[in-house]
Amino acid sequence: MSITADIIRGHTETIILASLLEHDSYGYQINKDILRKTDNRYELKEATLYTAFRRLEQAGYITTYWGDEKVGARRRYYSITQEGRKACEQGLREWIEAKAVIDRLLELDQWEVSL
Amino acid sequence: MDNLRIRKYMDQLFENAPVNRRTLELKEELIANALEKYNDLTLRGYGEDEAFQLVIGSIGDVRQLFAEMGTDDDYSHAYYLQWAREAQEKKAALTAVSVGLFLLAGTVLVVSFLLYWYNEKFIYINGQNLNLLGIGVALLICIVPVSLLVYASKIQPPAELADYAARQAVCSSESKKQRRKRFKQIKGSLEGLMWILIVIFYFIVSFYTQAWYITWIIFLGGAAVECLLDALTKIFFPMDKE
Repeated sequence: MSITADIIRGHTETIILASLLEHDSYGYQINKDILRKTDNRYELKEATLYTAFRRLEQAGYITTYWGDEKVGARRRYYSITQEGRKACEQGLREWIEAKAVIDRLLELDQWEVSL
Repeated sequence: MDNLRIRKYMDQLFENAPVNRRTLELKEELIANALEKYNDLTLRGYGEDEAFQLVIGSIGDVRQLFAEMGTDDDYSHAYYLQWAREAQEKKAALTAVSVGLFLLAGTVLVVSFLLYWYNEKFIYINGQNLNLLGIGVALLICIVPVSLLVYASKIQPPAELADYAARQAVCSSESKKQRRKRFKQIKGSLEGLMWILIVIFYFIVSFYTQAWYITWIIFLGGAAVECLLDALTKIFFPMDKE
């Protein structure tokens, strides 16, 4: 459980970028998506999420605008930029590589143990 | 509807946050998302307390965000600096005008006394005692600069900057101590200079008028001026106790 949470936290920025690929979104929506896709097991702490938003914004990977909700508080939407798409691709590549490395390392372990 | 409870919680959370546009926007963003989450939870059948706990439980440590908010292109800081500069200019102008008016009052006062000593009697014009009139006018003139100085000492930062200015003042308390020390030294030497000038003035007036029986009053006047300056510096440069 906690390993998965750590890995998710370690990829917060790529996860955010990936969730913005299809359409613009806002903080709670992104967290809801994470909850849905993980069968309600994982979500990001707001502090983690918004720290990542600021970092991505500064890096020029996302831009932000306010929604025009007529009732209640305004939502702050984020949309991905061209650089953001590139960064997302890069993050994805890094993850595939990391996954392959871990897979290989763990398989090797298993093999040695079973010997 | 538990909107108020969440808003109050956010107010507490942001109590010590730097006051600038970015933190205000972060707060608005957090509130919007927290309210939506809260409404979703209550719709799914969670009790009000339970929903509230879940909402605030998932926020985590927002202070790590504040740390980043207080740095570069800080809106509040630029605004504060601009205000401080304007306030400084305003105070300088008010002080200059006040000093000018004090000098005018002093001149009127001295001339009134000198005329009396020189003639060894009051001067009357159209039945008015010119000397006493001069003293009265000098005192009346003094009202204006005193008011100006009191006003200058009351210049406060605008409401939306008050918090920031207070924190800024705490931050600069170290240099404030040094300023206070230097201020005391300057004040001491100025007072010494003033008394030397008073003694010179006393001898000039006394030798010139030969009115030794009354010229000692100059020292009383000097003491009065010193008290006045002391009071004015306390109003104008309030020193907080250690």
